[in-house]
Amino acid sequence: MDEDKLRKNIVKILICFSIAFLSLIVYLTYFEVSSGEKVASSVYNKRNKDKENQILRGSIYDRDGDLIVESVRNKDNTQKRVYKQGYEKPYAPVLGYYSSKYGTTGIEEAYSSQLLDADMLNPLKIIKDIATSADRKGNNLVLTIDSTLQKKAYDALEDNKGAVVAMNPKTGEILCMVSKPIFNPATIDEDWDKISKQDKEAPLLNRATQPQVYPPGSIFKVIVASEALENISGIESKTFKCNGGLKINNYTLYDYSKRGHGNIDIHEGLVKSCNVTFGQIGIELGADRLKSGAEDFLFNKDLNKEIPDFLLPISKSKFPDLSGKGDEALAQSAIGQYTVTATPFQMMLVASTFANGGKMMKPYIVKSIVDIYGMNVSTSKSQVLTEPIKKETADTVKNMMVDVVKRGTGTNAKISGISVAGKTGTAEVGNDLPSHSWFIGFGPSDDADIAIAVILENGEAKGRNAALVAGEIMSSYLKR
Amino acid sequence: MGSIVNHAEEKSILRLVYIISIIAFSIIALYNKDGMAIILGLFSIALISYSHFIIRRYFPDGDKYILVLSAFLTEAGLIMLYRIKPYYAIRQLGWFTIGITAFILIVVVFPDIEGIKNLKYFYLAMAIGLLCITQIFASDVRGSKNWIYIGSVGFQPSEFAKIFIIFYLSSALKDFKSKKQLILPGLVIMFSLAMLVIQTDLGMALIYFCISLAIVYIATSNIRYVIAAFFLSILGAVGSFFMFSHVRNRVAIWIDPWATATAGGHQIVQSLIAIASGGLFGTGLNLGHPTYIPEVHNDFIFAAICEEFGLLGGIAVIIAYFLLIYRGFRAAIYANDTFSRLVAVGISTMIGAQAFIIIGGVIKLIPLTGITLPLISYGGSSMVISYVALGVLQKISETGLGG
Repeated sequence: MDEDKLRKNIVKILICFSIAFLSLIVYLTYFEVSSGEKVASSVYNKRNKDKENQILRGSIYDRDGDLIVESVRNKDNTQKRVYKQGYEKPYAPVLGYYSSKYGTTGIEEAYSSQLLDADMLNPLKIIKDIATSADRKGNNLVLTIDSTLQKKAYDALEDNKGAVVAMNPKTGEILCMVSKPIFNPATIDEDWDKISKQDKEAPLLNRATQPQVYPPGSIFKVIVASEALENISGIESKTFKCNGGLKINNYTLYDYSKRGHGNIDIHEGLVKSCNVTFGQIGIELGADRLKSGAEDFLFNKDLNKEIPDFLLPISKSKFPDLSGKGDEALAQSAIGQYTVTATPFQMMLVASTFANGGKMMKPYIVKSIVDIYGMNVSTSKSQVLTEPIKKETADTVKNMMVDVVKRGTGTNAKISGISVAGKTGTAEVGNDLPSHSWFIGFGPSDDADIAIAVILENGEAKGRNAALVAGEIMSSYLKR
Repeated sequence: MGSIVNHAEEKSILRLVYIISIIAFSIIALYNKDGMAIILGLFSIALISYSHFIIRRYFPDGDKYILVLSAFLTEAGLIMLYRIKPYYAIRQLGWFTIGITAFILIVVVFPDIEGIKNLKYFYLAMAIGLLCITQIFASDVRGSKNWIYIGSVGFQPSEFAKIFIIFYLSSALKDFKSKKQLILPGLVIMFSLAMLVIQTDLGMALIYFCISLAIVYIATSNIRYVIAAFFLSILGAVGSFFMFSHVRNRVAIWIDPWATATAGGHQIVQSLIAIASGGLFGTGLNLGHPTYIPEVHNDFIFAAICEEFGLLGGIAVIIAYFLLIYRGFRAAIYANDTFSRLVAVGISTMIGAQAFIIIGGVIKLIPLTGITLPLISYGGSSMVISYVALGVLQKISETGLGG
């Protein structure tokens, strides 16, 4: 028999096998990559439930190291979350809920793997765990939230629907984030049926980060003002004429003051929140510069992509493409109406930028992750997220915002002895509903420790407005 | 000089296998506070190094890597079995001892392969006999009628018949000259396949088919027989699909196991979940939950490896099998005579096909057919037969020109 041919045939079989084995490797890799996560999270995977029960979920602390929530074992070896008395509802928008029936949301969900991570890679810890045969406990979270402020903000909203969010503009630490109406995470299982029917109240919604329907109204003018300062030469010495309305073709953009502000410059225009002035500036800036200005402040951007470490879901704030839409659309957008929308979280970041000399710091809400023996697993660091405007621009707008609170539309936010900057907004929502009441601000104005955004849904109808709420909250924080 | 260098290389690989095993058994011992694990690990290592010593000492011309690769796979099996249930590993170690003893005996004591090449009717009688007694005496285990119990020890005759089929075909076709010589072997193959399908031992039928195909192809050098056999097999597969409900079931489960995730698809779904839970690096030894997969110590042990050692561990095992059969085919290429060559091809194909069919089934690349993963799965018949086959392979490699 032909030896050579025979050997070649054997090699051919070997090639068949190499193809077969390669296909095993390729398919296995493809499976892991394409559907691994989906398959692992299948309801038929008993590991998930097991893991959750095996490891006692880690605790969550506030910035001062005070306990907010911890897990305790039930008799049947399952576990439940126990909150510090009175912290349930104020902290609900941040922490979310943890329910064996209805899943997890908020920080509880976003940091689930860390809370359940008993760090089995650390050999010292394994030995300690085995030696003490203690209940294996996940890592703990230390938040940047200030519990006193969180409760103060929760109380200050009173019965209004709305949200408050504040951060340290120099570091990016979120100091408080509240939303009302809100569920009680401690009784979520019992309340579920009731809660899921409350469409109007939407207590599961975190109004600070999630709604995509809030028009920012006049608080948007701070962005337009900085855009004007950076793009229109001589804008500060320019005067605008306001007689209560700006006629554009067949449409009139009215001012809140029907009598008009007379001859007015950009500084006074912001202090008095003059729609006519900002309508004209908007038209002069044009569609592209308005949009790019808003986008510099991260409108139209997915903040969860921009800030991948910030694990709570944040909705996109939107500024429309106005090219070819006409001057009335430009004017309306420049005063934060038309189809402009913003989350309170977004507007708080905007306020912080003016407080911090044009630098927007990267917000973070988890200060550090520590294991049960107190060892640091990871610590968040302050970083600049973006620099949308120059320092001079930021300082100029800041001066305007100081006057807003001192003698303009935002005097409600005044704090005795401390200079505060801010901007009010009254966002029209149509359908004859009362306008939303907005306030963004920061204080002390020359070296700010807190930047804040407050919204009261349909707040114009009630005695309380956003500036007042923001003033109370900032005052309680700054006067400590 | 070259051989000395290779010798050192082979030893350093073995050392790695020992180190990995010691670490793995120590981890298991630490977690479960079970010193027995270390003793078992040390014993298995001693067994391997002793065998290696004997083979190297007296027969330095044989293939250097067959034993090393088999040892790696066997250790991987022992580690996983101990982790799943120490009982399995202890029994498996017993089977391994018998297997490796057979391996050494074949290499050291047995006459040359030359001397046994003309016993084709003996091989035929053994193969057919084993398959028939299964049909008569078999008990139903896990839906497959392929186990025979002698006292409390069960064994699978079809595992043993495999070897005889390889020897029979090699013997019958070693001097292939005319088509007529193919008639009897062809009938024998068809009969065996029919028996296996009736016994619902589909995986085994597939292995027999692959072995026959490879041997016939090498013996005749004629691709047309392979093509013809291929079409016949498609016909047979389609036929059995319509004739047997258990075949239809397997296919339906393969297409969508999630539809019957708590019934028929349970095993494969749990297997996929385990593999997915492992991810790239695995959960780490002893930290997964492979026992959620039914029969994990048996057919599904590859899923357990993927869960705890990850995708990388799984790929390592696949590559080890490939290297092992590569050494087998290499021995075939360098073999002195046609009979040895055909036997080497048959054995390499047997191990390769078996590994491919069960791994492919567990990861859902192909329909699942319950067979063991050679050298790793729990099971005496499979372990002993694998080592007997590897011993023959080693013997062939020794008399060949390569080495």
